[in-house]
Amino acid sequence: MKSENNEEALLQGLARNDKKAVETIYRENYNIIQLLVINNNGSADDAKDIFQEAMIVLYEKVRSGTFELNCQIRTYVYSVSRRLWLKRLQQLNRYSPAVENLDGFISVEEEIEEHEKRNAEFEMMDKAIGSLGEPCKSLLEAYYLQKRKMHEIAANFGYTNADNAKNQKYKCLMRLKKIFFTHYKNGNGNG
Amino acid sequence: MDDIKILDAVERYIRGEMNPDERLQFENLRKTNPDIDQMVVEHTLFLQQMNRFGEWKNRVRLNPLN
Repeated sequence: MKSENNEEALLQGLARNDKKAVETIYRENYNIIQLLVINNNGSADDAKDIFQEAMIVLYEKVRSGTFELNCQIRTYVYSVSRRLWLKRLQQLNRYSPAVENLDGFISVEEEIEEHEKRNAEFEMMDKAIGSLGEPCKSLLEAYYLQKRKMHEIAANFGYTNADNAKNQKYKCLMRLKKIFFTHYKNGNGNG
Repeated sequence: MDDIKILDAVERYIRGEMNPDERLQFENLRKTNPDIDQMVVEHTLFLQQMNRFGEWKNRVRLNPLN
């Protein structure tokens, strides 16, 4: 049995993206998730997908800063995986009576709904950035995702000075916002 | 100041890239100019959203299976 301290340390490790913590959570939970999926009409690949998704839900939760461990990691990961797999089965029009049983699990409806909403939003952002083309895509990623300084970016991209790079980045950002928000308002954002 | 310079100032302010004098000057500007103040608030939210988006893009690292 894992002590509560140990679990807390694992979650803190996960929040920092610590490789060891991620591997430990994987080692201690993957088999049971694989069993769940395979015993309920799924394949080993399905199990991998579901486990990855459940890890992301847990990660988002610990990163949000408001997460309190009120159950074991195992219970949480299992409940999320179970719910995700049930949803997947419904989408595929496959049915498995065993996963319908609600006993012994915690409710994770809200988390999964939030997670799906966030996924949809970020997929849209990803598409919007991709649709800008170059150099906009790389310029915005360098500044906003890799957090590099403008003078470095200017030199890297071959601008003669930082002001010209800033000018270009500004135009790219305005285009991104326009594309993203137009798309978002057009009903793909789940409200 | 034109829009490009304003955005640049706002971003350097939020990212802590201003020197102390410039920072103080900008903070005074925020107090007297509600539009700039609003831009700082809005852009802070935008940058937070971009941070989360960046994490989301890196999410494959969470999985030892990949």
